[in-house]
Amino acid sequence: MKSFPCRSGFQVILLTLFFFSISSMLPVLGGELSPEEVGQGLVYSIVTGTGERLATTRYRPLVGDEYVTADNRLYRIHDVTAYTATASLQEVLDFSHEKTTGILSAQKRKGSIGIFHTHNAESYIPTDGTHSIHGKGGIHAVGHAFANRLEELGVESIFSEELHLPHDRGAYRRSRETVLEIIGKEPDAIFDLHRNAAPYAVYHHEHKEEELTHLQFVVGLLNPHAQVNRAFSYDLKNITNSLFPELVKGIFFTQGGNFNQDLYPTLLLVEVGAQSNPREAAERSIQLFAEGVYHYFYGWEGVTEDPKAAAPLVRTVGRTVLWILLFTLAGGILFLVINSRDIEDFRSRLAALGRGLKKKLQHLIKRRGV
Amino acid sequence: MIHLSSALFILLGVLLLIYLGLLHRVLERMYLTPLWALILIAAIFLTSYLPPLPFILGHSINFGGGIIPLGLITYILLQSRSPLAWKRVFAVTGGVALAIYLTDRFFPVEPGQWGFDLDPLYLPAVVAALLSYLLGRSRRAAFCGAILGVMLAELFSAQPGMVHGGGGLFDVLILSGIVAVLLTEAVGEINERLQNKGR
Repeated sequence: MKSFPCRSGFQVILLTLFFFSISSMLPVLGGELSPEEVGQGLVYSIVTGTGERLATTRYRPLVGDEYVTADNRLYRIHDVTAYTATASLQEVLDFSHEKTTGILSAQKRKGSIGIFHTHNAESYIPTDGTHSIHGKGGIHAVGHAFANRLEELGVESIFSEELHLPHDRGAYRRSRETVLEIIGKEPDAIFDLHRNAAPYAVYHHEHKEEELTHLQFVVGLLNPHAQVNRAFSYDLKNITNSLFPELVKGIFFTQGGNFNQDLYPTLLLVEVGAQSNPREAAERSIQLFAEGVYHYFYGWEGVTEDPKAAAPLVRTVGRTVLWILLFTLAGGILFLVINSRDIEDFRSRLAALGRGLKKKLQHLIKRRGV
Repeated sequence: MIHLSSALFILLGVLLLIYLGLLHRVLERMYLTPLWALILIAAIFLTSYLPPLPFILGHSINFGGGIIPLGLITYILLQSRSPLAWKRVFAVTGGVALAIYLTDRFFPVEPGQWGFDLDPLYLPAVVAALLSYLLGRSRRAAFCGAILGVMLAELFSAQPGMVHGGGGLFDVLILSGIVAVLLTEAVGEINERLQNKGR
């Protein structure tokens, strides 16, 4: 196609600028669910074939998405109509043979944990008076509670309060830099703390007559080491729930997102309660979760540690690296194929590539004097 | 701990492809030699650790992740003397910026709401590749348009204080540019193969 559909590229830029100026005056149509929408039930529910409600979430489930309940039942969604996704039981996961506490205790150190908020504005209506505050919303107080409890346990917290406003999906693009900054400090794990949008009862939880909120993990499958994220989320949920039953209500595996989890294998998106729950309850819950995190990575004092505890996670990392190498090789072959005229040309290019590699290898060996 | 991000994964693939000489034609169209491409990648990586510089509208810009890509875009535009190439770059830039702005503003906060509702990390590259393919399979337009489109959209939507290209090699700017070029090349070649076979 040689012709250009617009008389001048500058016109496109001018039109774009004009559009931005006009649309910035319009209200955001997408974005966050309002309390009225949540009240009207405009949130997504994942139910089983018998009608049992597994989860209520602001994420629209897709066919093929998965949900793991607190008692390790793995469901896969096979049908989505309006606000209801129907899921069928795939298997009951068995973790009884795996020991995943104190995976870093053999290093005789207490490391650091990264914390940040992609959606800074998220707030809790009963405490903050609104579901969204432009700037540092109520979720930042939950982040502080998490960081303080970790510090009390002797773990360094790397808490970034960097803003990624406005409160839209582009915030995930903007928070990428924050994640990379935290990664530079080599934390053992990073948590992106959010709150969900759901009716009060969905996230309401009690433990020893104290009001808490449930937590929910979200793993985006659109990233190269989703399998490591998956293994990490399973282990952390099981450890936390063994200390505080049903604190983590489940894990949502969605094919529709990345959530910057491609940047770090132990980066988890954690929903701490919902907008309709009191923030104090969310703060108490995240403090309990901090103990789960501590137990998972560093174990308790006096507990006999097993240096082989990290083996399942390391195995998963190894598998992921292998997949990445295979994908890179496949990409190389694809480019070779599409740059070849026919099979003969492909063969001669492959042979030339082999000769080139051999030559480079010989040159390297010669230089090193091997 | 071993961790390979999608950006690092793509980058390793690109480095391998450059090393094996398989991206020769793409680089040629962008007025680069394999050596210069490798030098640029190394320069972006090393200089991304420098403190950010003041930009416009209260925003800042990273040297490695922002200034070097802008410099490369300027070089590509100055080298290509055809006005059509310039127009293509402007058109792809406008299209990408518009796509980002519309999806950010009018789509729900969480991505993946529909089957083709792409993550905001991958959307710019796909839109840039699609537009540049439609406008004549221009690798230059794909690369320049993806980077400039993301920058333009963020300038108008993000709050002052944002650092453009702050993630260096792993930032959405570089990632979008590289993926857009690879997509344009791969999809274009495959499509032409299929069309030629059909004849």
